[in-house]
Amino acid sequence: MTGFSKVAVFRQDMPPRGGYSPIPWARVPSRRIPLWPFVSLWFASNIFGYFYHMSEKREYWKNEMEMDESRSCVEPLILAEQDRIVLRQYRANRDEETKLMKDVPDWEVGTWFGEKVFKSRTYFPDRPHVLDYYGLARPSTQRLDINASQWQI
Amino acid sequence: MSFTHDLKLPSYDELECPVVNVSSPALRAGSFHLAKYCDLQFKEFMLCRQEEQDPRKCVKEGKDVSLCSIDFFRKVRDSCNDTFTTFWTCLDNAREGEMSFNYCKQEQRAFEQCAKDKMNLERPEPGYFSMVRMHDSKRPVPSDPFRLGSTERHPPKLEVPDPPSISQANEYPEARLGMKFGQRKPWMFEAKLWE
Repeated sequence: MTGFSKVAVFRQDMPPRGGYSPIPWARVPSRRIPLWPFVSLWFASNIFGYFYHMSEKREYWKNEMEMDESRSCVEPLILAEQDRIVLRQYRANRDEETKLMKDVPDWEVGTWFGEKVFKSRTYFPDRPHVLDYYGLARPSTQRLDINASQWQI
Repeated sequence: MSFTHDLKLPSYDELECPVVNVSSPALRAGSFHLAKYCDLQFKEFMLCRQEEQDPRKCVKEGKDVSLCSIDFFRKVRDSCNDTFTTFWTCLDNAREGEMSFNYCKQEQRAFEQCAKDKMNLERPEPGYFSMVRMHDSKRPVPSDPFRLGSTERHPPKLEVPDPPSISQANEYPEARLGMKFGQRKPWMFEAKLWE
């Protein structure tokens, strides 16, 4: 060819030698951890926990029953002593009341100007009442039993 | 304060009795063996209390209770003092202030062993004191304070006839409609009060 001694040199963008590497187009599933260890652990802990819980419950209620039983074993002794103390206090209260209201006219001991509390002559309360027991006590003594019901100080 | 001179209150001499001079953790420690040892007196006292509903009438049984308990604790002090003392001090110092038995199992076992060996007292099984126990005594049955109708301590079982069957409903037409005065569901809209 004539007149083509110096030609502009350029580089054409061509694929590399040997061609491109293959494009990975197949599916790639994600990294996963297996589920079966966790499920089996949970199941086993349920089964084991059921039996353990049952035995613990049995033990707990056995201890509770023991506490209640010890209280009820001792109840007659406590009740006997309480009865004696209460009867002594009732007697002392009645005597004190006779002494105090000796000079008041028309006062019968144990009544409110003739109005009786216990109308029947054979009845006696089996449980002590707060007002009967602490009726003639000083307020500092009355405040000792401040949590008893039907109390107004 | 509400007792007149008509009501008979026992005198101070009648109420005199020695006191069980024992602190509450010691009482809790010895409670099971105490109830086993003084079973008769306890039952008599509780029976009297339940029947008469009157503390004045049960003073004598109460004294028996106290004397038996004093006797028991004296016996314990003479024979089993060390184990008993360790047990009730352990209960006293138990966690949280409540004298629970499950922190002092070792001392409890030691005391029970000592009681079995020396005093020949065996503690009954754990459910024994929760069960209903019958008691019959020579004390006469008191009159009916609450008008229950029965003066017998253990009344006999009555022979009750069987209830009528469904086939007998034809003979009792009022049973089909529902009784006039007396209903299982009295105020619900399904109940027919009468025809």
